[in-house]
Amino acid sequence: MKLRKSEDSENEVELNMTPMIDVVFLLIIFFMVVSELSTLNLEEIELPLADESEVLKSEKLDARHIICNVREDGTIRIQGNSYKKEQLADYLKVEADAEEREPANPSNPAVPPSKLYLTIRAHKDTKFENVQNVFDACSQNGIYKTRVMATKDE
Amino acid sequence: MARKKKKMKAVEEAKLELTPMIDCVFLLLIFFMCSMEFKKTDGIIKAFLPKNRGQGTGTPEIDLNEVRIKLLWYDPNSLRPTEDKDNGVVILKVGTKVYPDVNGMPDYELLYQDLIGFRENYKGGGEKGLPCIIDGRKQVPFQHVVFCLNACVKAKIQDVTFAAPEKPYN
Repeated sequence: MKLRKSEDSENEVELNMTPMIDVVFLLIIFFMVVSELSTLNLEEIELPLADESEVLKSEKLDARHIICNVREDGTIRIQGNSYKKEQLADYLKVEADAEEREPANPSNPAVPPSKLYLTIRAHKDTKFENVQNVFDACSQNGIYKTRVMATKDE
Repeated sequence: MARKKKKMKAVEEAKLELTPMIDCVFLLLIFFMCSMEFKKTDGIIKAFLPKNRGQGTGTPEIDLNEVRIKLLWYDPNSLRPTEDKDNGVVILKVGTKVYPDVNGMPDYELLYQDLIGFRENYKGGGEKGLPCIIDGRKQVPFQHVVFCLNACVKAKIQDVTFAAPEKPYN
């Protein structure tokens, strides 16, 4: 009997932590990668205030969606790359051509409207000229579904 | 003696202490989960561009009842239009009415109230109702344009467009 007792104390029940640590590490890597990707699109920009802006829901952002950041100095950045005014028009042309277009309007048959969405994230103090350049490049390529990103918080 | 030492060593096996590591890992996990949530405070305002205007050869239809919100850039001393990008003030004008300044910027609340009046008195036959054009000078800070857009959305005006940038004469 005494012998049995000592055997029991040696075979203590231990919690196996390895699978939990594996899962937790996987979650951390997932969040790190996702936050890295989101900062690539959403740069640190002080957005303008607008109390009527709709809260951005992730399900509203479909695959065919371009986020265009405009910094205070006027630099246009998309997915971590900088573009000049002319380069932006070329880039948007490629993107719009890759996407399906709506039937052309008789008044403007050369550029049928694109189904692509473009969201402008411009710094609140940037000159309107810099945002007009983006609008101009959009209208040249038939991208009319443009949206402006703003913040509700003071 | 030698036997005793051997026995002691076998009992005191080296174990890895995982608790501090798990603490750190959980803290990291909570941090990343929370920082992902913070991004959702941003909102969007629709600012669709005119679908059938701009590149075509045809003349676009002009509604004489349209409201043109002008954001002008004036010299603060002479109160005349200026090209100076760094030194200027924003003047908000609709028709002949110049909006007074409140806390150093034009009164956008008054603009909102006027836009409600314009919308209710609109007699035109457009599908979307009263057309509204935001005509901002290139030097105007973008925040002012968004304030105008916000006032239009708040006044439930659906047809909002932006005036094309001024092109230099060649």
